[in-house]
Amino acid sequence: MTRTLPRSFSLACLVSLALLALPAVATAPLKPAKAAPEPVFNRLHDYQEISEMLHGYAAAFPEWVSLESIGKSGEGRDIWVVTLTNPKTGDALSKPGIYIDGNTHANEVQGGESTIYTLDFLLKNYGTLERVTELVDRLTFYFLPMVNPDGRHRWFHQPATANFPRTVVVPIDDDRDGLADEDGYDNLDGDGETTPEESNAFDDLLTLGRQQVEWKEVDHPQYGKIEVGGNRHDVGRVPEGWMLNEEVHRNSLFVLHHAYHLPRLSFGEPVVR
Amino acid sequence: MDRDLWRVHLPVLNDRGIPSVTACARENKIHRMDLATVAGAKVIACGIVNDPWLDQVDLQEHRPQRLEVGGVGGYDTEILFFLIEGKGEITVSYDSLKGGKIATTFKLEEMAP
Repeated sequence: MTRTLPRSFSLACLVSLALLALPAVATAPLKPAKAAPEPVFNRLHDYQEISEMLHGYAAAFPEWVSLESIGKSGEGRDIWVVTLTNPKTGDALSKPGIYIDGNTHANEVQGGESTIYTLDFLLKNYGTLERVTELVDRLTFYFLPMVNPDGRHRWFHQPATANFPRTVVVPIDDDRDGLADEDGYDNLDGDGETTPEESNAFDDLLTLGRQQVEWKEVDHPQYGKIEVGGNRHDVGRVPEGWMLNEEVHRNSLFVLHHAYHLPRLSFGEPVVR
Repeated sequence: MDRDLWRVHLPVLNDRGIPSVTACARENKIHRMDLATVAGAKVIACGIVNDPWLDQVDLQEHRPQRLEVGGVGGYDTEILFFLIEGKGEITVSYDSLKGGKIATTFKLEEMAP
């Protein structure tokens, strides 16, 4: 005689049996071996600051976080990757992985901030938030906050103009003098350095409007007294510093929602005949 | 079914929204399928139960010791079928690139109806 499984069988088992898939581990908040970085997301961080943060996380949580450079950029900067998983639930390579990166486009620097925020959020809420604990136990997270470190460095430390690189920075002989990258498009006097005046003059030439804006205080209806000004850097859809926290939190939860819905498998009751 | 010959139905559950192998990965052969293996007994035949009410099984043609599963859908279940020769305890392992690795051990003995 044959026996068939009732269709409702699987649904009835879902909640109870799925929880058995993971080995039981004590879940207490992580205690850093040394002081963990305390990033503040009301401003953007440049390549150097983020690199120091990543080293700080790896030193504070040496068993959980590993840091490696997967290569060098064109200008010799390390491309850092952070791996996060719970070592007690298995080796990193034995678990499903989720890869999170940011700042592929040179001028979209807030992607790197979102990536760092996600790493920080997971580490500091493990053992406190149920979903975070489950994710870190079940998955391996790979973070690559700065896919384009040279572009990030230039975004922070050079004026934003129409010639600001959006792609990976490669040496270009833009003025056809036989030398590559010895001066930028807007280095008008050819001395190798671009001053704000030169940048503004170049922007005027292209009728793009001035990128250098005087700092001034503004009374914002929601955020109160805020300062607006500096290099506009508005080409890459980057939020103002005082809006950054909301954006990185939203981006982070969007990514974690996908991580949460990665398949979680378990066996139901076998039927042997 | 006969002396030391057992028919096993084993459900694999996915209680999250993303399937363990996406249709895109299946159609374009992006990565390997999920694999189910049995340790502790000899597998004569295996497959996927496509209709438990009509007792219809899609049998795998070759290599019964390694059942290739085209993934478990989001919030869904696949029922694995094994025709097994042996006695005592067996361990079934399920290895999914996206869903991780799970295993279960049970006895080959007549179950209560």
